[in-house]
Amino acid sequence: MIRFLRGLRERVRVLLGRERFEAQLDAEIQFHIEESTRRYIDSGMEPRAARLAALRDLGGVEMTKEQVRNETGVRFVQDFAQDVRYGLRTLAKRPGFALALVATIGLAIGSNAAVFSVVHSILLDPLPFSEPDRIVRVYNNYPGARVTKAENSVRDYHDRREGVEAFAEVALFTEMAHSMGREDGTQHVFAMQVTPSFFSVFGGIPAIGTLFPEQLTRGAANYAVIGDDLWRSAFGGDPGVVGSTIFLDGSAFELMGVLPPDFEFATWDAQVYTPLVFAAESRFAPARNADRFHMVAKLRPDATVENAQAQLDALNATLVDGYPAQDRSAALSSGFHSEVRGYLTDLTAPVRRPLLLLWLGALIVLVAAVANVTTLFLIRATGRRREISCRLALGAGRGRVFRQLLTESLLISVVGGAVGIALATWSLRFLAAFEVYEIPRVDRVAISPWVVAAGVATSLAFGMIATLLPARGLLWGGGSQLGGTSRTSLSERPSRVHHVLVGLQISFAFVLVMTTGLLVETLRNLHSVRLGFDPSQVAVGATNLPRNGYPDGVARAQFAHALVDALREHPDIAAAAIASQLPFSGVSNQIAVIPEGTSVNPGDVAPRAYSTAVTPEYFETMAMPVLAGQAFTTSDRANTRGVAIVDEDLARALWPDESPIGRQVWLGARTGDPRDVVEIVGVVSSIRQNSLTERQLPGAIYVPFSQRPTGFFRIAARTTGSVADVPALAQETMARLDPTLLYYWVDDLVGTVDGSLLLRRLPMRLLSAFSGVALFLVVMGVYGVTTYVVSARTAELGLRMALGGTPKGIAGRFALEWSSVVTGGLALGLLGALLMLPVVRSLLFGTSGLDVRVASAAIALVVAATGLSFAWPIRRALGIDPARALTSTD
Amino acid sequence: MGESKADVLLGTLDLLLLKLLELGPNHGWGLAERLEEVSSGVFQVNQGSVYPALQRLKRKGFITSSWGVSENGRRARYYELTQGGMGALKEELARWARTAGAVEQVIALTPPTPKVGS
Repeated sequence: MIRFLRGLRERVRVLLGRERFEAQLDAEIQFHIEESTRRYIDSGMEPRAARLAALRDLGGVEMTKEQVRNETGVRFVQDFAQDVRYGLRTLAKRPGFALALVATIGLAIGSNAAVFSVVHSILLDPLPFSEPDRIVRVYNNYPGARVTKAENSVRDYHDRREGVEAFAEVALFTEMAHSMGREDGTQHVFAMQVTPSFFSVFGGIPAIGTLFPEQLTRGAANYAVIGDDLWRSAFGGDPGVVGSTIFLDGSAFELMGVLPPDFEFATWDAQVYTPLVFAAESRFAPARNADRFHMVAKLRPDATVENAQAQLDALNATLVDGYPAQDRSAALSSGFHSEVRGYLTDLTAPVRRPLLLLWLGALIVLVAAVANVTTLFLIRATGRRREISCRLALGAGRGRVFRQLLTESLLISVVGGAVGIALATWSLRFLAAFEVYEIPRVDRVAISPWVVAAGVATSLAFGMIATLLPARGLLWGGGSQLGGTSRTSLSERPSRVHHVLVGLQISFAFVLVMTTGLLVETLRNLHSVRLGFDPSQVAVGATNLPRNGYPDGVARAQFAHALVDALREHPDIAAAAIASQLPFSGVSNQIAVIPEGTSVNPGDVAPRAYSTAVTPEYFETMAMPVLAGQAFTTSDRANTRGVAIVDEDLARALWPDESPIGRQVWLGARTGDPRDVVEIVGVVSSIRQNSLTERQLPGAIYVPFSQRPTGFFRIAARTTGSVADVPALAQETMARLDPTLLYYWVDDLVGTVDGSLLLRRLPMRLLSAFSGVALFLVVMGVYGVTTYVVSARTAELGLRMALGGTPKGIAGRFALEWSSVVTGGLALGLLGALLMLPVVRSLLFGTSGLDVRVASAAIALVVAATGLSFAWPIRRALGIDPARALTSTD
Repeated sequence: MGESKADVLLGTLDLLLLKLLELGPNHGWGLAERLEEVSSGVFQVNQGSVYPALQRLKRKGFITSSWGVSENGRRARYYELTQGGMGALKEELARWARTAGAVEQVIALTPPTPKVGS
């Protein structure tokens, strides 16, 4: 050990004191020669001869010194430093070349680092709960009634807690919005009502206080637990808050505990949790399919999703068997079954395809970049053939020259990698600013050390690959190239390798351009989908009326109408309405519509429709034409005849050949109570409810807000002024009516509709960028190779011109060479685009993916880019004076 | 180039230098001279190969160097055996003895009497 350390000290001394080491070595050898010379003189030799004899005995001063240097053990470090200096000098001579390479590698590594960071943070990173793999989500599906991923009932909760062995714990939760009051005012909070078991499922441990006890009874349920964010922002992080009182929509809740900062649930942090407690008799509630709660469960340590699914299927089968006859046949004919999904899988399901597509896109850019960098290095290597041959001829070892070449490419690739990581970090900061609800966990996307490590490894691999191919030809390519340059130039051809590499780049670029084209086409198709309403100039918001101040429907309806009237007083507001839900804002209310007089046979599934309660001016606000009958009026009240308006689709589905006006329908269920019957008074145009791409239900039914008022509602206002001015106006108007209310979830309807396209638009934009990069690589590759070929064949070109060749003819010969490369590249690209199709298909709309128009456009774009980057150097070359061309030797 | 000479001595040159340094500190020239004197006629030592060998021994921590004044009043780099070098010398000598003994035994073998008609 000591010996090793001493040796190490010696190495360090040599490395750091290089000049001193050399001086001492020199002095030592000089001393040797002088002593040796003196001995020969002493033995009677003539001084000159004595010195020669001394030198001969030593075996050469420089040779000896070199051998000593080789024994220092730090030679490679010194060589490396020398290589770096030499490499930097060589690169500085060709700054364009270095820049192009750094840009290529930077873009390739940057895009991959960014996309992989997103993939990692969203799809792969475990959820911030204890044992996240054991958490599952449970849904009920009724495919026969076209209802999928429906939520769960209270009975489901009781049944599954007891009846599914694989579940260690089951919990229900539901989201709600409240205004939270303290002495210092009112703020809007997201809240969740959760069963006490919720925190056991997610492994929540309170930072302060306690969570809900399992034995909480319905009477004593006015407790609340808050999240870390709210605790810090509203309570100043005061540890003494436990036991204090907060007001949610005017009702008092006792604060029980505070959650730790790392308890992040779903895509946003619920700030307030209140207990969801069921009375004992809820166990036997008759409405077994009142599916309104989200269900989560934690698997037992030894159970899998498949176990749970099998047990749940068995449980359902047993339960359905015990249903009353009518319920049983309804369940069977609707194809009722439940579904267990891993929590992370479920959460990230909508973004998995787009992310996978982006990842593929980034990988394609990476491979194209490798091909490009190799091409450029190959070209440059050919240019350096003489230099390398010269060094080899002067006795440089092949390994030494290889190391030199490797150092140069590593220099470039490491700088490129650093640029790439910087680029990725910068672009992710940009992405994180989006914080969109549609992309789960987007707020936590960040570059991880793993991504950086992968980036570094990739850039080193770049350097290696870019060295190996050119070095093979240079160092082991047989035969000295010394002096042969001017003779060989006539026959110099770009090697097949160049063409293959450029052809590959063309195919990669085509795959990306084609895929981007399909997404562009998709978005164009989506933009031309008829919405059925006009979102422009419509501002939207939401509020909810606390039960304390607005105990019944009459009070709520009264406030709603007062609010609409107050809004309408403003000169800019052309129309305003209140609705229980708005299109593209997470429409979920549906209702069974049973026409009076039709008999529903046992087992029949009643037709369902989107159900929305609206104030009279709703259709005007949304610019939905009333096609038959009339809109609601202010004289539709809670105590007047129940009325409804259907849309075209529902009218056609229920009364295919007759007018729906005057028809009576039951809503929800045929109760037999005449007050539940409503009469159709009008038909409006159909609208897209939630999505531009699909329709889940056949139609929609609208009822007067006054007859079915809700505590939570949306507000829509059509303005003749600026949409951005409406929120302040609405908040102010509302505060005048009731200062405790808040106007939140502020948006404009155009933005809301647009948001639904995010998962298509974002990949489209990023893929466009990737396509741009790939095309840029093709341009660089083709330009580089052509420039090289032209310069290598300058003499040949001159000769041809001198012998009467026309520029056109010569350009034609070059074009012919390239056309096969382009054709090959495109053919391969078409194949690649076909292989991409399964990934991209689910994102497409209005195009099958085998789109001739898009394909032709993509081909045209790639050919144009190739043609331009080919034509430029050729044009320049053909302007050359034949005499000069023939005498040029390079 | 003298490489062949150095190659012949590669294994033993380190041993010889360590042994000479056991006699006392010396400079490169002195070592080369002694080596020639002592082994004259047996090895043809390339004087230049002494220096890389010294650098190698120094790197291994077997010897140290310091600047001193030579017999005729000139500045010279003197090499000196370290504790570790002493140990290494013992090991090398033992190994040499084993090798030499083995070689002795091998060359002492007498060829078997050839069988008739083989």
